[in-house]
Amino acid sequence: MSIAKKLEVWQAQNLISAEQAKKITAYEKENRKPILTLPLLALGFFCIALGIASLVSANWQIIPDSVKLGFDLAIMLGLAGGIFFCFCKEKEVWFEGLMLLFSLMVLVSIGLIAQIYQLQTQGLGAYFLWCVLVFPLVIISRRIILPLIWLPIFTASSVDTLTNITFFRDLLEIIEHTFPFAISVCGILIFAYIYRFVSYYFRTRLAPQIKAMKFWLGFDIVSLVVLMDFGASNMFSGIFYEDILNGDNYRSILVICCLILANVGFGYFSYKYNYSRLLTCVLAILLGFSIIYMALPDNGTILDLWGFLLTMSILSTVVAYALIKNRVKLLNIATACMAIRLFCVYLQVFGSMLTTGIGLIVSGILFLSLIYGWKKLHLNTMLIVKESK
Amino acid sequence: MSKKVWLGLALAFPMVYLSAWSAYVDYGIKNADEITIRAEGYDPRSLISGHYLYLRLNWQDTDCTQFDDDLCHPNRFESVYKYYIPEDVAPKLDKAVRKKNVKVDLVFAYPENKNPYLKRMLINDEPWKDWLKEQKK
Repeated sequence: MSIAKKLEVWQAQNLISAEQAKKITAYEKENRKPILTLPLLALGFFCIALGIASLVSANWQIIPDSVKLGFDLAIMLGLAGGIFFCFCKEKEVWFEGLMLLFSLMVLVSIGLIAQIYQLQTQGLGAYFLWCVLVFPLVIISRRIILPLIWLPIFTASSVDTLTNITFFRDLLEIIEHTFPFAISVCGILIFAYIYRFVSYYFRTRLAPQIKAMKFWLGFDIVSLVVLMDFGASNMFSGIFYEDILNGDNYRSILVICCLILANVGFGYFSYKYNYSRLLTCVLAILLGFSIIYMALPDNGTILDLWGFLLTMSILSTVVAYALIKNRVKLLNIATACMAIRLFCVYLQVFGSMLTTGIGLIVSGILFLSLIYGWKKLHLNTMLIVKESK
Repeated sequence: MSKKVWLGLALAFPMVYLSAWSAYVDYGIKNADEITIRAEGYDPRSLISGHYLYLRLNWQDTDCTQFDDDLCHPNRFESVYKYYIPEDVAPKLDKAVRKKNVKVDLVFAYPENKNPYLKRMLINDEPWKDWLKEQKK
């Protein structure tokens, strides 16, 4: 409900006076932040940076190298001056837009230097260098756009750079051979830890950066669930299961124990500092289902059902969270996703429309009886009482 | 420190680093001995290729007497190098370096304790630009 509609309702209910409503409306108008300007500005600057990168790639041989480098530095100095000016004049949107352009120009400059001196880049090394160079700007940024771009590039390039270290490469190999999706689960767990620590220590100081982390954490989890659900049967066979049962593979067992302990530790941290339990539950489900996968036979239908149960477990947890926190939109989205997934599983497992139809009707009746039972047992009131405690 | 100072430092950091880096590389290239190594066209099926050539070093046809100890040191080099070229001549050069009768050499700046820097490409013993001009005649 918009603020104007809310004010109308509150006035009608005699909760606020007309004068108070006027004052609130005036305050909201004054403090409204431009929603569309920054994304459009960012898009424009992004296109300009891509254009400059493309011009650099064309590799003009007519222009001497020193002129190219000097021109590049002049552009960056000009941008830095613009950023400084916007900061002093408190033009926040332009400040953020120019910060984005400046950051992208740093990447273009790395490319230009590499091109002029014929430098050979190793993997994502150039991107890692860019991440290090613009890190202070990411910290200074007051909007989500720059951290949102920086985070995935930093994650990918730092992992790529770390793989140059033999110990890290060996560790990755051990984790990879432990169970399917072990690296992804492990990565998400580490990311979740970093997110929790940063949001605990720098909640107000790094609000946009934490928002960006939250977005990518959610995105990673959703992507992994979709991949596990629909891709597991094509990507893995029972090889991991056999390795563990041989009994000689103590390293895999050690990795599993470490991951379980890390999950428990994360849960304890969230509980101790009163953070939502949703993330802990989702991480536990992901880890649990990944480990269960090892015990499953290499059968398409069973793997389909495993994927279905995984998604439904995650969605049920989200529904429970939305119920407790009274988040109606989230509840509706999760329920809609559950309905779609339910329809998909009938197509996956049964195949024919007749059996799908019968199955769906039975499921529908089951859900209706669940609602009936819910209302009869007054579970809603129990949840509200629990929340108020 | 005030916010302005932090911002100034954050903006200066990449510019100072990049300037120092390019100066360092430039100095390294200009103050090192040159080594010429035979190369051949290589197709890695890169999706973003087109603005550079992929060249694999051919140590069998390289004159090892160029090195101080008369021995080749392939472990100090990469096995494959990217050579950046202007996009308008990229397809022609890409075809040329794969021909059997064309001799491709890469000239490196060879500093004592650092990685070698790729300086220029020679085709049939002349700079690739001159070779290309001759082909057009």
